[in-house]
Amino acid sequence: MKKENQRIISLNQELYDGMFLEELEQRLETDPIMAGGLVDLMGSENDVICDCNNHMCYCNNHIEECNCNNHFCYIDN
Amino acid sequence: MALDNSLRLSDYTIPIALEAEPGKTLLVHGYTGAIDVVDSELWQQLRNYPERNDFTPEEIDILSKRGYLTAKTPEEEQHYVVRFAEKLHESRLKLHKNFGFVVTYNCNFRCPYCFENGISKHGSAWSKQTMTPELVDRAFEAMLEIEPHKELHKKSILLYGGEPLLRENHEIVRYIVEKGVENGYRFNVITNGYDLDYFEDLLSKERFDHFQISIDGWRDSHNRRKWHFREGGSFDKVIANIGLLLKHEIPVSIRVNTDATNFAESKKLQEYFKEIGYEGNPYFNVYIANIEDIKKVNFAKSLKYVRTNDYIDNMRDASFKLWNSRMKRLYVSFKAYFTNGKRIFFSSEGCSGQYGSHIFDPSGAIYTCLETVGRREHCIGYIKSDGIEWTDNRDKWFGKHVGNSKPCEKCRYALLCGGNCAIKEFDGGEETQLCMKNNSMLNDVVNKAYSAFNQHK
Repeated sequence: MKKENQRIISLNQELYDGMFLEELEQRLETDPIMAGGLVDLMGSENDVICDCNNHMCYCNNHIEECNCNNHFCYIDN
Repeated sequence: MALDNSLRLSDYTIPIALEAEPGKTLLVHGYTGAIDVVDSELWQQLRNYPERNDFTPEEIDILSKRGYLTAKTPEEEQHYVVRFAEKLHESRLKLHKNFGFVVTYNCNFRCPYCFENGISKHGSAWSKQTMTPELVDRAFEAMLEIEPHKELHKKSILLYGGEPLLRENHEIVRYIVEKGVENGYRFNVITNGYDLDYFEDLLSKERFDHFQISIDGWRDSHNRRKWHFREGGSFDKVIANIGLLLKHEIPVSIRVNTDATNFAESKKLQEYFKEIGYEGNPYFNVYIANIEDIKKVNFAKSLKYVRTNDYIDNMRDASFKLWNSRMKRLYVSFKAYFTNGKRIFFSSEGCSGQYGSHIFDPSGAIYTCLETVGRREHCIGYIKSDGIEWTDNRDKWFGKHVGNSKPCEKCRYALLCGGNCAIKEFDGGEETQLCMKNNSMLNDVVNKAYSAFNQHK
């Protein structure tokens, strides 16, 4: 957590800004699993919400056991 | 007073008053994903911007970068969110694929609210169709046809039904599981749990990632609704079989199906799980579900349905502390955002039925939504001897996202929520799936997550 200002405390720093959208549009044109492809960009996004550490995982709309070990999580049924 | 008339409050600003810190408001931004805690006084000034305020140039700069102050017009913001939702959806379509097998449509229970009740009109011969080894082989080939990059396959395949674990289907279940394990997959199972003891030879954590078993309240309520067609009440046998999974260290989630008549029984059930040593087991999890009235499919006169907003209120007021799955996911997600400070998770879809789910049934049909299996009007394709033949439904299902959903138009929560459950919208349902804009769910959950974060920081 970074203190920005006495009256505004920002709890996260990584935002979906205009640059993210442009990057997403560019990577949609490439093979998703190539280095620098979609998996790199969107995979890191999924890292954020998974704190299951191989236990019950509540990622992306479903409760399931998860093997992601805090990495790229495929639980999204 | 700082004033910049080119800026205004973004329509996608979501304020949540923090119960743990009176005088503070948590702001979430609906398309930048910013999360900030601000003085409530600042929030009041921000609401009225550019009217009277004492913002410093630094604060205006921060609020602009975080998205709360914007130079975009309302229409420009809406167009931006639609474009963002479209690209998120395109990326989902290119990425993850998950697969499932309807082992059979046959079932040993006759639950009055089952959303598969409508398909019984096809006749018992149709319902009793079961997967064959040949069809299983073709389905595994089809998985690679659907997504040649195996890295993008979800590593857990779902077994579903009807009831996937009927004792008479042991051999085909064994075939599917062994074939899956040979190919690097494991399995999730949604089962009523009644015949699970007939499958103990297959149970291992190397084969199975997770089971979901439904319980419909305390013993009497459960037995009334989940009556085995030959052997009667099922409660005690299902409870015993849950223990079998725990013995093999296989995670199991108990979905407690509730309506107005059995909601309060959840407390007794939770106490019972403690008494028999299930509660506290790391492989055991319980959550509460509201049985929804999908009039076209599963309306049952014997149930007293609860509207979603009332259900959210009931959950908040309940003396027991159990979660709804969607609320739990939000809670865990926000606690993680608060703790690790990383990017929020946005989604253009309510579930993978809108981009990556493929469920193979015993007739060779492919569906994408669990609630539509057996309903040909929602079939997205067929496994043929020479490959997959897709139907127009595939575009309908995989084309739906919050960027083109009428109810989500202009909704500040759209990307946090993922939108309405597609089948409920296609079936003309009035109520959205725990729609965030109509109830206190997000407020309740974020406050709980923030309190937990505060206690541990």
